[in-house]
Parts: sequence; C-alpha cells; structure tokens
Amino acid sequence: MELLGIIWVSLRVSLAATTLAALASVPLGFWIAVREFPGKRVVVVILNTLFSLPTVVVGLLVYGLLSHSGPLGSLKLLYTPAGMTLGQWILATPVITALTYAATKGVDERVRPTALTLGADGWQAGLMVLREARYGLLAAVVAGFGRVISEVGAAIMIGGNIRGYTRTITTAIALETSKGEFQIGLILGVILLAVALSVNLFVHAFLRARP
Amino acid sequence: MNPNPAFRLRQIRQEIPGRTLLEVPELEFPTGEVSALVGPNGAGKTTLFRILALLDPPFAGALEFRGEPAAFSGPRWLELRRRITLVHQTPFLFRGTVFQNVAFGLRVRGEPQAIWPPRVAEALELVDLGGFQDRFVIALSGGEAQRVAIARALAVQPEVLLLDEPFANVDAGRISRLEALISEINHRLGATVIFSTHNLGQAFRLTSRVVTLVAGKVAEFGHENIFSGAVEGEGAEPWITVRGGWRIRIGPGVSGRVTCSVPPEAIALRPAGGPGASECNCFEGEITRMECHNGRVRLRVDGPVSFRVVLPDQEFQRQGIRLGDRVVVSFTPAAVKILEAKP
Repeated sequence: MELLGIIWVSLRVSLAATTLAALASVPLGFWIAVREFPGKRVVVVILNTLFSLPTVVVGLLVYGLLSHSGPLGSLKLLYTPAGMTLGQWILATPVITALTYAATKGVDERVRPTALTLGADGWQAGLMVLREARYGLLAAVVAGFGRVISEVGAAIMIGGNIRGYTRTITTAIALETSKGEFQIGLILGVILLAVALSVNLFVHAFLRARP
Repeated sequence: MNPNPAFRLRQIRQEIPGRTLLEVPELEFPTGEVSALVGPNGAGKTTLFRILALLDPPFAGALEFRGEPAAFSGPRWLELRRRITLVHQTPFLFRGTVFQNVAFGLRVRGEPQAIWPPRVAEALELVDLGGFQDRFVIALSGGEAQRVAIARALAVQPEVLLLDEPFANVDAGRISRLEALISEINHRLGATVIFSTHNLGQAFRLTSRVVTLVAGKVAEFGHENIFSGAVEGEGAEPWITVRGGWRIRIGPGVSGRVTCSVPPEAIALRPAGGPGASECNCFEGEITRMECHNGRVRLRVDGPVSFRVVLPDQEFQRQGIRLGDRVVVSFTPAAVKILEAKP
C-alpha cells in the first residue's frame, strides 16, 4: 500500500506541475514564435539553455523562497506536495515553452494567411496554427512531464521525502539506494518507467483517435 | 455598371529591406469582371495579390476597395477580408477531411451548421469533385488539392476571388475546364475574379482586361498577334516575311528588323471565298475557338498564319459566324503596330 501511495504522490505532483506549466507555456511559446520583438533570439537561447537547468539548483532556489525566513515562508509550502509542484513547474516551463516555440515555427507558414483569407479573425487563425502544430505541442507537454516525473533534486529538497506525504518514486529510489537496498531501488525504477509508459500510451491513444 | 472599381491602387509600393518588389502608380480592377495579371515569375504578381487580399499592408500608397479605403487591421479589416478570398499558388489544405476544409470559411463566419453540407457540396460540384467530402486531404493528388482550395474559397461566396497562378499545377487536360470555371464563377456568382498566369494567350482567352507586370511595374498593355522579321520592299508599303513565307505589309518609314503586333480589335473578318480579295494583309483560316465576354467576342483563327480577333458582339451576330467556319482575316498596314525596330 505504501508503494501505491508513493506512485500516487509522484503522479499527482508531476501531472499538476505539467498541466500548470502547459497552461502558461503553450500560449507563451506560441506568442514568442509568431511575434517579432527585440531580443527574441536571446529569449529563445535562454529558453533552450534552461533545458539544462539543474534540478537541485531549482530545489535550492525554491527551498530558499519557501523556508521560514524566505519571502514566501508564510505560505507554509515547504515539505508539502504543493511546494514540490512549484519546483517542478519551474523545471517544466522552459521545456514546454521552447518545444512549443519549435513546434509552432515548424508549422507551414501558409496556415495563417490561408485562415485569414478564408475569413478567420486573429484568434481563429492562431488556433488553426496551434491545431496544425498539435503533434508537436503534445510532444512538448510529454517532454515536460518526462522532465519532472524523473527528477529527484527538487522533489527531495522541497518535499523532504516524508513517508506517506511527499515521498515520490524518485526520492524513494534515492533513499533505498542510500540504505543499500539496490534491489528495491531497481524495482522502483522499473515502476517509474511503467508509469511513464502508461502516460505516453494514453497520449498516443488520444492522438490516434484524432488524426 | 458598378461605378466603384473593386480595387483602386494609387502610388502603391511594396518593399523588403534593400529591394522594391512592386511599384504601381495607378491601377484599377473593375467590379464584376474577370481580370488577368500576366507576368513572368518574380514580376510581383503574388506580392500584388497579397496586398489585394489585405494580407500584407503596402509599404506606401493607398488601396481602395469598392471606393473606400482598405483596412489592414481592426474590425473593418476582418469585415473586408470576408469579402475577398485569395487562393494561393500552392494552396495549403488544413489537416483533416475535404469537408472540414471547404466548410472552414463558413465555420469561422459562424454560419449555421445546417447550411454547411449543401454549400460544401455545391462548391465541390463546381470544381468537379462532387462526393469528395469525406476524403482525407492527405490522400488527394496535387490537382485535386488545388481544386479543393478553389472550392473552399467558393464556399464563402466572396465578392472578389483572387486566384494566384491557378493553372500552374493543373494537368493539361483540365486547363480548359478550369478556364470555363473562371468564367462561370464570374457569371453565376457575379464575383469579381482576378487571376494570374504567365500565359498571355490564356489571359486573353478569358478576359480583355489584362494587366501585365514586369519587374514589379505595370507594363504597357500586353500585345497579341506578334510577328517579327526583316523589313523588305521599298516605298510606301514595305513588308516583313513571316513563317511559311507569308508577307505582312506594314506602314512606311521603318527599316531593319522589327517586332510588331496586330491589335485583335483592328482585324476585320469576312467569309472565305467571297469577293474583295484584292487588298493586302488577307489570310484565310478556320475559326477554332470563340468566347463571348462583355459584349465582345474573342476568336481564334487558325491558318497558315494564326490570329486572335476581337469583334463587337453586334458585328459578330451580323456576320453569323460559327465555330469551324472558314474566314478571311484582313487588316490595313497602318493597323500594324511597331513594337521594336533594330537596324
């Protein structure tokens, strides 16, 4: 039963972080792709660099923010799943934004003028571009999810690996390995992959239903 | 008659950094008619179309649509765009079915769903693709995709239909059908149609309103019945010898090698075999094509030397000319227009 609880915490935190990140990052990535503004290249380079943002650095930063003496200490989010969600949100955002940017850029440049000349307004034309990019967008969100479900640094520093509360699959693996329980660690690793596989199968089934 | 032209351009200039793509001091496209835009690749046809479709604002100058200034942003932009539809040279079809594509314009306009199927069916019938509704666009051939794109534009019944090189990806067997379709769109739907092509003859087959673009500028009216050769013969009526050894007499005062044109309106027709064959510049041939448009009839007379002829409708009726008739084409030496003379 403890195992199910661990899987549940992992899924809940990572799915929440990915969803929140997608809600902000898909429109942001799209906006960066279709608008021209000074410094656009710099923004794209920074986004791509943030792909490699070390999870422990994010963990440390958020720890600082949420700790008692930190600026957001009064929210009492340290060592809670909500705090972990915040950390993972920071990790997923640049990944989803940058991949949304790439997916939007990859859409045929005739889509927008075609929609416009057929009478679409600006929003409708934008939605058509997103619709044409939908495979790329789903890949972006899946990549964001992969980034957060597999990370351990932020989860352990912000969540504290509290049994039955903030312990996730990855933090459990870290704990078991440090105890010398390599076998349990490996089994947990396989479980993590199985969870990720299920999520991906679900997404694929969703895509195949709408060609 | 519509007093306000569909489009009026004044001092329109389009540029990209370091290059002028289009420069049109003054140009009009009449409402309710078919106009052709002729020019080689890179002449600025697509650039002009994108301005007329209100997709790209011009760098400078003023564009009027039906007598009012065009808008390139805001609510009026949307309102005007919904009256003008451009079919791209290599059209893009949205992922999904033919129906979804053709109904797109109706959907974004918020038209009731009940009218989508009949309107889509009607538009597809017009382009000979009846029954294609449920096909996925990914399975269409290039020519079919082109026609779906035209149907998609027709479904919204635009006031102005802009067709950028509609003949470019069409196989030879379908060209005449597409030409007929352009006339039909104009007649049946009353739409103003502007299409581009690099085939001058094709342009003239469909309309007498031809605008020629060369290197981003409107060139002088396109010429037809073009001949060239060295000027021979002294005196008042020299001639040039054209293919097959036939002579075309031209006006006096030119020498060297010339390129000339015979304006189709300056050519007279009479039945073959009749009297009056003594004048010069007479050529016998057969009528192989005729089209009626705006009170004028365009004919193609094929013989040893082929000519395109434009007759006023009344004259055409009076003579009772029919397809396949043998006729004599005649024109005066003075009617021959010298386009270029090289010593």
